[in-house]
Amino acid sequence: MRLMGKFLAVFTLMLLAVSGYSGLFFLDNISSYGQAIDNLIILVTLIVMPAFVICVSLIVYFVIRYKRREGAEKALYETGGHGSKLAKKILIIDGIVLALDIVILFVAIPTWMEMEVKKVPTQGVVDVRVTARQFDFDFHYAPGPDGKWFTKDDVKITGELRIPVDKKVVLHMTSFDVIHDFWAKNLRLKQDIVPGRTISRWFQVNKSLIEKIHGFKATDWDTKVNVRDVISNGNVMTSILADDIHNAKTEKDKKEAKEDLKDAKEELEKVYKKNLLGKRLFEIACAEICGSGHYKMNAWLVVEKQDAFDQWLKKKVAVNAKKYEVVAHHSSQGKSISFPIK
Amino acid sequence: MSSEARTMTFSEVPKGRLIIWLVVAGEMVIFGGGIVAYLLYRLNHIEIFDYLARFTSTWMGALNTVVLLTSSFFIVKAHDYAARKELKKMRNAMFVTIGLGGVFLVVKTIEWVPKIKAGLGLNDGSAFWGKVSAAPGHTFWLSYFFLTGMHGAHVILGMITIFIVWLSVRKGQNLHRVEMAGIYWHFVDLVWIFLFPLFYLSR
Amino acid sequence: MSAAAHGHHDLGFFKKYMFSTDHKVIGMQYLITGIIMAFLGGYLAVKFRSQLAFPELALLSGSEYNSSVTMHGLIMVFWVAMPILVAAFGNFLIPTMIGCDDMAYPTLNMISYWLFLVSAFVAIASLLIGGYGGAWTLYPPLSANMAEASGGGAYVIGKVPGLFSGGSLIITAVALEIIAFLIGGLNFLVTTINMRAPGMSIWDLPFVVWMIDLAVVVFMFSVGPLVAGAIMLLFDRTLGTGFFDPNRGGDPILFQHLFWFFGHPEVYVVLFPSMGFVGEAITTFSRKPLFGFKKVIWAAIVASILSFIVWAHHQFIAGIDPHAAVFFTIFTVLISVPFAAMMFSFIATLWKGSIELTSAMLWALGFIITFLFGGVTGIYLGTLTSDVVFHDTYFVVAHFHYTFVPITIFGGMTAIYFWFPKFVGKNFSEFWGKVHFWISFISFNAIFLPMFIPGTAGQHRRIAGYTEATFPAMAVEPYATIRIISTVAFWVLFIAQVIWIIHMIVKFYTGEKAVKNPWKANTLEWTCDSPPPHGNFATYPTVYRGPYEYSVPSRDSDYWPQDEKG
Ligand SMILES: [Cu+2]
Ligand SMILES: [Cu+2]
Repeated sequence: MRLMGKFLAVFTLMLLAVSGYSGLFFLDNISSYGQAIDNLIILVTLIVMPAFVICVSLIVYFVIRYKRREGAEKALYETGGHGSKLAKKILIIDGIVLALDIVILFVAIPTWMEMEVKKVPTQGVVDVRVTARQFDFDFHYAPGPDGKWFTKDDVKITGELRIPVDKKVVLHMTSFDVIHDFWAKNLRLKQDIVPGRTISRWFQVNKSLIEKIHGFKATDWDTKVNVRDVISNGNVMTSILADDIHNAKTEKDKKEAKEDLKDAKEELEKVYKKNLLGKRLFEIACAEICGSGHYKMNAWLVVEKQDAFDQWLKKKVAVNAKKYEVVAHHSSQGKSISFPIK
Repeated sequence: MSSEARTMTFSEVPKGRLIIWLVVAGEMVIFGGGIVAYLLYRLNHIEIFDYLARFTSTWMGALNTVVLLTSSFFIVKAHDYAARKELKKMRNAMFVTIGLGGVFLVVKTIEWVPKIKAGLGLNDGSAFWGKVSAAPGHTFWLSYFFLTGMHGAHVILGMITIFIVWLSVRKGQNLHRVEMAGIYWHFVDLVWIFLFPLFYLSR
Repeated sequence: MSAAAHGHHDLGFFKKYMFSTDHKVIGMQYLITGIIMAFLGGYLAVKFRSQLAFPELALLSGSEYNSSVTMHGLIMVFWVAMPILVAAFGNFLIPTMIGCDDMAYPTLNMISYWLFLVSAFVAIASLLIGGYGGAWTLYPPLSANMAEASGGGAYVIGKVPGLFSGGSLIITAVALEIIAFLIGGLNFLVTTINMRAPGMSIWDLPFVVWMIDLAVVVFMFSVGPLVAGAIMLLFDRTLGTGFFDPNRGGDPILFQHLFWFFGHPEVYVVLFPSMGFVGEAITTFSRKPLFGFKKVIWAAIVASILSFIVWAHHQFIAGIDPHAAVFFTIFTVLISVPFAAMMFSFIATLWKGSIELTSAMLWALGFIITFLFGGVTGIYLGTLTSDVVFHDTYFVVAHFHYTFVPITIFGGMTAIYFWFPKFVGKNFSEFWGKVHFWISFISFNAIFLPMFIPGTAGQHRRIAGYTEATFPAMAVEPYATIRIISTVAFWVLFIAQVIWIIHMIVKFYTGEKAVKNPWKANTLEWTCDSPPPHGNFATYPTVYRGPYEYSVPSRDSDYWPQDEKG
């Protein structure tokens, strides 16, 4: 009984540790199915970590308990063949492993069905075409009066995915050159983007989840998020980082470049704060190696309320209709991909 | 410098036969990879692949099938003669096998040259087979050159093997090696039996 | 007739050490080549880990970083793990453990090594001209078509890099290496099947021989598609054929299938020998039979079969059919059952043993603990939805280093410490062996355990620096500090290996001569002299019992060599 009590205490401690672990290290989830994934990860942790701890404890215990000593008795002759009691016990433990595997699968597969297998919704959704290229993401909306793709009123922006809250968004992803990967950490959405195919994935950002983010105030919905601000400041910093320090010939140059970097960092921090990083502005990364610029291939996800989103789009339509010429490029398989002509 | 351990045959299967079967098994997986690639390409573009199969020369393919089957017959004969120690007949049979391998390669070359000249496998090759949607058909020619080319390389390898065996057995020693060469040659033959319908008979 | 009778001609230096057909010399050649390549791979890791921890220093550019991580991966898998675990110890152990004088085909064995050495030189040549920077998985179209031939530059449609580029050379090197191992592997199988000592049934074969042969079989039946894929990729790069070019009907995902059909079983190809070493060490130093010997082998066979139908768990998010993904996840998660059974057998072997913590035993126990952690973290990645989060993040990096480092370093060191007295013929210092173990064990965990934390947060791989400008969520604390901890710990691990190599070299020259059977083990190699002479055995042994008859109650002595009559 005392052993049992000790065991329970350890187990409770581990539960606490695990929930603390998940709380500490997951980035805030904002998508409708993200919680199910996070829960699965916690469940797996609860299953495998105790198993691991038990195995290691056994090893350590055996090594201490059965250490070879002078005059100690001989080791037990136990082959684990037919009729071995221990072998039977191990067989039972194997059965438990199998059962736990099945539990994990039973929890995981329904979420997968929801995320990937279920037909991508087509009604009442925001369709966005994503074209990845070295080393940027282009996002392409077809919101204009005609509601059709590849017309003059389409909106195309680079590096910025702006979406309305509480509404299903469908991404139709294709690549212009090599394989890239769309990784929106806070959405728990990751998908390779493969040239020659268009892969559609959906997600929905829940308002309730955004408002649960630590430090989020209701008034934050009204702040304008300006991604161009972020990108231009970021570009300045990247260039200082990569070139100036690398090319600095004298110690003095190097020192100056480092000071510039420090200033730029502070500047950027201000810009981020203004733009609500981690509250309504989230990072998107390319998670599949795609060439020399892979290390900086990113995009930004901006979450808006529906009306703010509509307004933004309307403004963009007016601007972009002049700015871009849209080319519908028909790829070999009759599926169309598109890219902006600069 | 042999020893009792070196010549030990625990399994009672001679080690030569053992290793040649293992080589064949490993090679089959390599060809398997190529054939699976072909099938996957084909799965995506069945009609185009069927259409393009008309542009391969069925009669040359059939001729080559006959040539290879005949050569297999002769290497079996060589094995027979080796067992009966009829060395002269054995040597001749092995030479006929090598010769038929050569015939196979000549026919193959005649088949390949115009296709290579038309640039099939590198450009869209429309000069050769007219104007159907060019791009997907590309993989038909790629697999065609890849698999028949790889097979051709194995024919050459087989011929070299038989020749080396011929050198070592012509005076009547190491006669069991004829069987090894024969097993390998049968394998080369068998691969062709797989490739023939894939590229020459579909449709 | 005795083997020694014909063993001692005076062979010249070249015949004896360079173009030798003796399995022990070839094994040593493989081992030394593998260790040199390991230091090369480690040096690359020093480079990119330092860049990653201190991005402000701007040590490496984007493409240099890519090339370092890629070459590190390829070298460690193909030129370190494979030669050390499979080839070197396969060569040392198979003939001596089954009681014969050499491999079935000694010349073929030598050819296999020289082909391997050529492949290593081609790999180094590739590294010298900039290497390849598109990840060790070599995914096209990036690998098929590049303007900057080396470091993973920009993709230009229709422009091919030619044969003398980092990428083409490394693909050629991989293909050569595979062929070398196919030749070597065939030899292992034929030798084990045909040349066993009289009386040695397959269940009298030591565990490690079983495991090496199983690894060879798995390798033989999984590598073919990659050979085909590598040739296709090489044609794409040099001739511009377009097997994987989507604009011409090719399919980039096809290559991923060809690669991972080999890639997953490959893990077991290196794992099985390593488990074999660990099994040998554990039974010997616990003085107990390997628990459930037959069952462990059956579990390994089941796991090998399953390993052929799980490959697409590396491609859950690559754009494959999501229904197929369900099929693959089921088999992937199920594969934990045979491996759990094997691990439990190891643990049960310790139970009521008479355990001696020698250096080899410490490394073996270290293997079990670290590999177990690698195994359980694999469950996260084999399960569909959690893989969506963890794919291509540092969680994966940490996970597979928790499998590959135990396999290569912990398993490899188990073998090296266990058989050093036998095949080098000198005693090493237990003290330095233990120091080496503890520094390595602690620093290894300090590298990779913290790495799970940024991994859980989604820190993605193959990034030269997480700057505030690009990935602000990853540029903050604790992630920046964790990257520094990992890097510093890696320097320690690297230095520990330098200490080890010095220890080994010093003992090679100054160590006292080892006795025949220092661990009082049962298997046949311990009946040879240390080191075994050309021809191995003075008289060829006959086998009377299985390899693990330790602590048999009816006997005074706690071991019972396989060749002892009675
Ligand atoms: Cu990328
Ligand atoms: Cu795998």
